[in-house]
Amino acid sequence: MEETLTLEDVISAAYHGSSISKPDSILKNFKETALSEMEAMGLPHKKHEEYKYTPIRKVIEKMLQTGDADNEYIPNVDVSSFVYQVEGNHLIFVNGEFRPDLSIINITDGLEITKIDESSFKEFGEVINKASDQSYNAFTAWNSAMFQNGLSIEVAKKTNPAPIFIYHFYQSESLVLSHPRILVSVESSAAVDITEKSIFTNGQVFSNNVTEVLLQQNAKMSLTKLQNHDEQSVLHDGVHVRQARDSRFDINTFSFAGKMIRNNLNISLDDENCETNMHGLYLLNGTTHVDNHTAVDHKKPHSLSNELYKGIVDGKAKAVFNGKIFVRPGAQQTNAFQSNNNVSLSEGATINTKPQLEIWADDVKCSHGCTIGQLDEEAIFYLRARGLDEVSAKAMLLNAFAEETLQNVTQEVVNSEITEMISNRLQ
Amino acid sequence: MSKDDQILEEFTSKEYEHGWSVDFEADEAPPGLNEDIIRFISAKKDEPQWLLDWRLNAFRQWKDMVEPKWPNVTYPSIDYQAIKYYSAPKQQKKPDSLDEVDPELLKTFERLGISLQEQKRLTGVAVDAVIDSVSVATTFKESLSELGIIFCSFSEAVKDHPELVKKYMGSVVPSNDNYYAALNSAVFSDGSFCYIPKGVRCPMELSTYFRINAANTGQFERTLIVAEEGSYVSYLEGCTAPMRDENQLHAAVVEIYAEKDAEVKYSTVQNWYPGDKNGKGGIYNFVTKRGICAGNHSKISWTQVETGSAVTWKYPSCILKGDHSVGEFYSVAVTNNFQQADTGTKMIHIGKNTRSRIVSKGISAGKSQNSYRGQVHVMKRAENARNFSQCDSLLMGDKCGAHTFPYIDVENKTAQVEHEATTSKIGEDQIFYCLQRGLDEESAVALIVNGFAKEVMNKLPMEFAVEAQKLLALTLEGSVG
Repeated sequence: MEETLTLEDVISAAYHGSSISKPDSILKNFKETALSEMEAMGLPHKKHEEYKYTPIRKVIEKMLQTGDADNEYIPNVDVSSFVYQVEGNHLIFVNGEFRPDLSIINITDGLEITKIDESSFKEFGEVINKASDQSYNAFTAWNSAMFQNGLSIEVAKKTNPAPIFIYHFYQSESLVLSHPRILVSVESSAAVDITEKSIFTNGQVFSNNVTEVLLQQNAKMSLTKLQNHDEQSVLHDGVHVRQARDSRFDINTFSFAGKMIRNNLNISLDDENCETNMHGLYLLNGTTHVDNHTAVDHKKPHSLSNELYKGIVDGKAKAVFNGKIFVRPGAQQTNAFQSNNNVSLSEGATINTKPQLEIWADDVKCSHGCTIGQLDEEAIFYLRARGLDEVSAKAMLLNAFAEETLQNVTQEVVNSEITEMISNRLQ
Repeated sequence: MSKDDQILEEFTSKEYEHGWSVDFEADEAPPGLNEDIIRFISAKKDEPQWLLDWRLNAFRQWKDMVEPKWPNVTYPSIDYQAIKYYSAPKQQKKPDSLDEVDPELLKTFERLGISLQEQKRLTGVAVDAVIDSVSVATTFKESLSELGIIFCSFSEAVKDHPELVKKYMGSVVPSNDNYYAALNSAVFSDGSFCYIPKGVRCPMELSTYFRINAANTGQFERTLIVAEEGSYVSYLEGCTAPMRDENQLHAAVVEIYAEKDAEVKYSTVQNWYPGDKNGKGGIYNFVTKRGICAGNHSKISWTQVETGSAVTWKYPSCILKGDHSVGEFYSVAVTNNFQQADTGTKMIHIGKNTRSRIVSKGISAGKSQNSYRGQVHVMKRAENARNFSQCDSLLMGDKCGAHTFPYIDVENKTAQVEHEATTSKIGEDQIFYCLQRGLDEESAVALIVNGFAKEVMNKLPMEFAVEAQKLLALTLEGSVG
């Protein structure tokens, strides 16, 4: 990368140089609009308030300097080595592209799983960007310009299909720039349970994920994310949700490792009586940098949002949390609760947290709390007095601290995997 | 219209009681801002060359800065060339005693309920009165000087104690700290200076009273408080302005320097003209206040009751540099009609075992917007730092807003930081409870609001608590959400 070229120039050149920019493509208009939007907005600098603590632009620039993405490489995917041995639909992404051929899709009652590509794109022209229009940023635009073979999941009315597991598999001999795109649309009175996890084998990965969720009346969705990445990989994960009346959305985000992880969670409660539960746990060591930015926008009365993020930060890791709650004029009887608790275990660990409330309605109950502290000396003493050594006493307390964030993880196999990961880490 | 709305209506139409102005002959600079104006101000005040250089340097830095846009407030942009940067009541010579002060001036302060006459001895408050740009009178100077305490106007301090002013001015708020601090450093007209020598406990409350009188002027005063080792002082600040249709700018700087074992308590009751009920007029209050706990075991405590101003932009902060130093911030901010307040604090923990406590209570009514913005920063070597923050908001009516922006940055693992915030309205059940016990609705609300703000009110010195409570009642009585 030459000095005079900006990151946006490099991205734009990459687009025009790749096979995505076919002149006769049905996607051409959509992609070129997105590209120019990305260029106009620019990927956020460190001066950008929302990216103040997370210099992701710089990290991407550095990654692109070290080498080019190798588009010719054909990964060798052994699906059986990583899928959960449970009933359900197992959907595989390889280096950011949805691969129906590798996926295990066999229980499809009430489900329509489609690959978003040239041939199917016109079905999604209306839906794409609908959930993200208010939280649209340069990363979303970048994804729009670059994604190939996205995934659409549609859940039919009044159905409760088998659980869905999405695996992001990465393998390359050099750099991988991945732009997975997922659209989820849950029709009225339907319910769906989705788990997402990443598998790293080889290569340096920057992944710019965009997931858009549209929940119709009385729909229900639970999304669990497992972010246990390779220490070279960088993730920017945008989840954009729109909820209609009486719907419920649960999200559980577990971040364990990676070079840098940025989660943008934007939830718009468009109508009355919605419920949103956001749980998160970050358990960090080394130099991992995890940034959780969440925003819940209460637009109509009688909704409830509940947020609980917990962090255990060790080594030279850095944890950033920013939770925003907006209560718009007229959104009376809103209940919004937000809590962020952190345990700092080492000298070099840094925690930046900013729980933010913006409220324009008076008949509401909103609260937020955040704490940063250490393990209680007295609690450790209590356990040690009962014969536990210091390490197991600490592990027991931290396990108890972390456990609360697991309560909404419904898939047993995922729940026990996370539990195990937590206790392994805390040994 | 329901009864609630009626009461609300009544309250929103309440007039600002300090809205009159007095005509006295004033010595003014023409509107505009350039180096000549700064030289004019400096010459008017007979300042030494170093101070003029300091001002000019600040002005040059200011020219390169941009107005901050991050506060959660909106207002039409300010034309800095339309403001008069100097206005002083005309006086033949510096009065030696109060008897020589223009009786019109004394009457002005009496109308404000602040008697400059020595009968104030009863309440034991020494007052430095500032009208527009200039300090007009300082009481109790002699009895304070017996203890070695220097309490005088800033200009006098420049003349009589240049070494102290030179040493401490700009040491806490550098002239290029921010846009308004730079502007103030360039054009500041007067203010108060207070120096408490080693081991002295100031026997009375020191107080500055600010009054904007002239039209089209900005008020730019500077307060500098230096507390030497083991000293103690409690300082009060009050302010009012006449009702005018145009907006006026007030950009002050307050610096506090606390040495080892020193304690400074700074209380403000801010009651600038908030504008009328349609949001016309009012003061823009853009103030930089900061204290440094330079020595070990020192303590700085800020208490503020903010009821006035059209737009407030103010973050009294503490730099906790000394080990075991303590910073406190207690605030009640009330906004009504179209008022906007973006206020909070910064606690910078640098020394070991430093502690800070933040209690902020915001009350919004009418169509106002009230924001708390604060930062707690625990630096790498701040072992065992401890912070507790609480910010509660009370909303009255469905057209106002309450916002919270707390930044918490921790770089040391031994830190213990807690933050909690709630937003709510006055509960119907609370009012019902009071009504049942024979209170009318207005007194019920007053009771609940007072209870809400009590934690902060308790921190105010006696003399101020009464005034502040009155102000709070005046601004909020009867506004049932």
